Amino acid sequence: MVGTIAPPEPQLAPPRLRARRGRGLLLVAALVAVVLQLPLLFLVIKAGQVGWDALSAILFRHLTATLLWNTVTLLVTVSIACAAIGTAAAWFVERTDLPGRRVWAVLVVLPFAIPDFVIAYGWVSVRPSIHGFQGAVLVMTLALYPLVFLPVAASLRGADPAQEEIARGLGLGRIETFVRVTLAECRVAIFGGSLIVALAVLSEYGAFEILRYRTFTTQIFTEYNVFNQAAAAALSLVLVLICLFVLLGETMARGGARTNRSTRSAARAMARHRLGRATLPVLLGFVALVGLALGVPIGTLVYWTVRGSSSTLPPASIVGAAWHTAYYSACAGALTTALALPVALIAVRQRRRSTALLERSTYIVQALPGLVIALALVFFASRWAAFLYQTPQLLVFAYAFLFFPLALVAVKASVARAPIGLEDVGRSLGRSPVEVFFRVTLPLVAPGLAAAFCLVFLSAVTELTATLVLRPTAVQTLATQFWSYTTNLSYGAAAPYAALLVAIAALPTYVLVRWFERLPGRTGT
Amino acid sequence: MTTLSISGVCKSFGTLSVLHDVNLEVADGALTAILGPSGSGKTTLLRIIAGFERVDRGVVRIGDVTVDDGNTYVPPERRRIGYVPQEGALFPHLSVIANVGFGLPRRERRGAAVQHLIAMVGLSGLEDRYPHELSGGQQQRVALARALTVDPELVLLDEPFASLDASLRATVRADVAAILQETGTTAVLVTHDQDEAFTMADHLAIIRAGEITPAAAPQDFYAHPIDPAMAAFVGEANLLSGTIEGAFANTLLGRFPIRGVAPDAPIAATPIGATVLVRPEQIDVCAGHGAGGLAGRVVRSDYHGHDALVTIAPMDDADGNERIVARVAGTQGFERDAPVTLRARGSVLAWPRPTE
Repeated sequence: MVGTIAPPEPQLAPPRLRARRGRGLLLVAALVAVVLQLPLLFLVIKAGQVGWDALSAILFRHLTATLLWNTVTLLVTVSIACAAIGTAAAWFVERTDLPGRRVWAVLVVLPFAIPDFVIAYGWVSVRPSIHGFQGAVLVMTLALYPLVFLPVAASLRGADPAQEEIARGLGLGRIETFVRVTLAECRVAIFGGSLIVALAVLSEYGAFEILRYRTFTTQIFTEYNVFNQAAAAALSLVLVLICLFVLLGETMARGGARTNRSTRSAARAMARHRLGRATLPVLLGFVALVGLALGVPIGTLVYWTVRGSSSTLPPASIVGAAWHTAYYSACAGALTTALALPVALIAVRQRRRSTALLERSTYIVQALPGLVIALALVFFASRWAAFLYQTPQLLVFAYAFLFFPLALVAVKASVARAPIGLEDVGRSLGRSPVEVFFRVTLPLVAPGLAAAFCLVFLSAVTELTATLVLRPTAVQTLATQFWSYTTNLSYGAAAPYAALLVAIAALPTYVLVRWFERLPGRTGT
Repeated sequence: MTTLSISGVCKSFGTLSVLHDVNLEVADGALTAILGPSGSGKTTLLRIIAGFERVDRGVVRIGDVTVDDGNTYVPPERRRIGYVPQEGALFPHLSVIANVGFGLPRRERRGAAVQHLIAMVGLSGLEDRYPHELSGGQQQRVALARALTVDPELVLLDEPFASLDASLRATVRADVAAILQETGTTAVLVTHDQDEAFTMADHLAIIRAGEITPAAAPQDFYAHPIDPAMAAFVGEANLLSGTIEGAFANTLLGRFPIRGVAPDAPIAATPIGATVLVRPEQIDVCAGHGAGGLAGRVVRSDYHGHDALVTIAPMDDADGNERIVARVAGTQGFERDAPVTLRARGSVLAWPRPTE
């Protein structure tokens, strides 16, 4: 693959000409980028305080090796399983005449809206024997394969149909065409998606706690609970290193992306492969996948909700929990989207080496599991800002750190749809910059901002780990209340909370899927 | 009267100097084309006129208002300049009528003036379409109508036809020229397409590496290019090596009078080595090796329908590298390797070659 270059993005004016404008914007974006590095900085300071001797004593014990082995084997297995299932499902939905493929496209993504710990709860409450490595592989694969499905489906949809046709024309058979053209085309999406899966596995806490599987993250939480701060810091450091390593792989995979369409026009409808006699087995496969990933958790939730509370604990206010969940998540959505906007604007409109670096630096928070961010903020608040400790503000900030990369991706895509040339035209037509912003830029960017908001909202609603650590005293969100019932094995009492959680999360997921589907189709000018 | 006057404009981005000392006068009601290869600074110049970029030095005046001299700066929205960018840049979220009416006060946005402009660019009935439902040519017309709504003093066209199919380009080009003429609008067109500049422009200026020539009629550039590179840039050119003897140039095609040189010009003692411009249409091609003229053989023939360009290698060319291009009628077919005789007529241009 030497010597091919990705075609330049179409642009209305050379971006270099923009240097003069938007210096204030650059400053704001740089500030955001610096703030985003703070959790990592706090972690390093903390580790520095603990000192090397104490760190090495913790790192070179037998338990650390066991955790490393547990974490890495699970990570590799789940990533491979997700890559296989996600890619296959995407190919069947996008490229074959699978009956009901529009419905399947939605159903297959829905497990994304169900928190991993709810899926784990569903399985464990049905079959208590499911635990350990196998249980963890099963649950995490069912929870995370949509992370591969979505990018691969998008890549298949955006692919140039001519390439497969040319391959067939050059005498390649169906299978050879699939391997050498189709798979090659979306290998970046597959690999990138799998590494995102790996990051999710690394930062998962709730599901593994339920499944009694020990990884770095669960151990960090345990150490935190017993106030062993040195051990928590030492393990966090290792975990972050592994995450950074995975993130590096993901960045390199994306850097290798080379696409080239033969025309700029919208994709022609691709001729779909006929499944023929394979239709029934494939359909059964989809039924099984959706049944396991969606049916089991939803089924158990319905079962336990209908059967009623088996708990002897006093019923907590579900309305209050729902309100807190929605309120914190909405704040997080707004804050994160607002933070992502300046970074997206300079990344798209002032494309230079320095701004690209700035943008990339914000992705480093992606390597920080929620628990590590939460602990870093606890450390920060306890040392320098006691007034923030256990306030909603700190929790919302944690969400913003945690979900910034998600928001940035969505905001960037939408900013790219409002090229600065359109603003130039608007101004040449005698309209002021402010008016042009409201009549041109905002209408074009708004859908993407809404998508970013939804994405963060959805993620914050279903977030458990950081919420457990940072929630204000005496406040329960749906996730934490569900958690306290589940850890008491009060499955019946827990069920309504999870059901509401899924219901609140499902709406933004639906909006997102719709947005995602529209993305490559609308070409405009 | 001049609508636009640019003097001594310099612009650089960082260490990269894009425009040096650019001067340009644009006459009222005329279409002036700025022709230049990509990277020559022509789009930057246009963006400076529109007010999207500021000058480092120099003065830009529109009418009798100084809009930019490094200190005073009139922002684009107060310059009354219609801007038609590459690929139209229609607002994708607005319909045709909303695009055209964008620059008007709210109550006029669907008014008679907008309808009239849409009719003028031939898009009546498509008012409620969205940009992605229009062809490239239609998008370009909407962009022009939109630029005309604000009754601009000046319309700037930035390679507006580059994204159109060749077949469409000629008609859209003619339509746009007709509309501009009809409305008496002063326009500046930036393009890298010599054919486009020649067919559309009343006046032409050529920009190369940030330096611009004075504007003149297109025919002047064709007949009197200032150097061999420009001669080749504005059209097919045979740049032959030869010598200057007073008012005449000697080439392997024969001896020709030099345009613009007095017939009694003194003859240098030793012949001056020169590059001599002979346009392809000055050369007649006859089949077979006849008496007089230059014998050669056809190495290539590019057929264009109405005419054809025939490339000929002279028979007695010592190093075998010289090629002469002649324009012949399309009906006159020449086979490869056919023997031919070349006879040239008219006058030529000659530039003394720098002595080593």
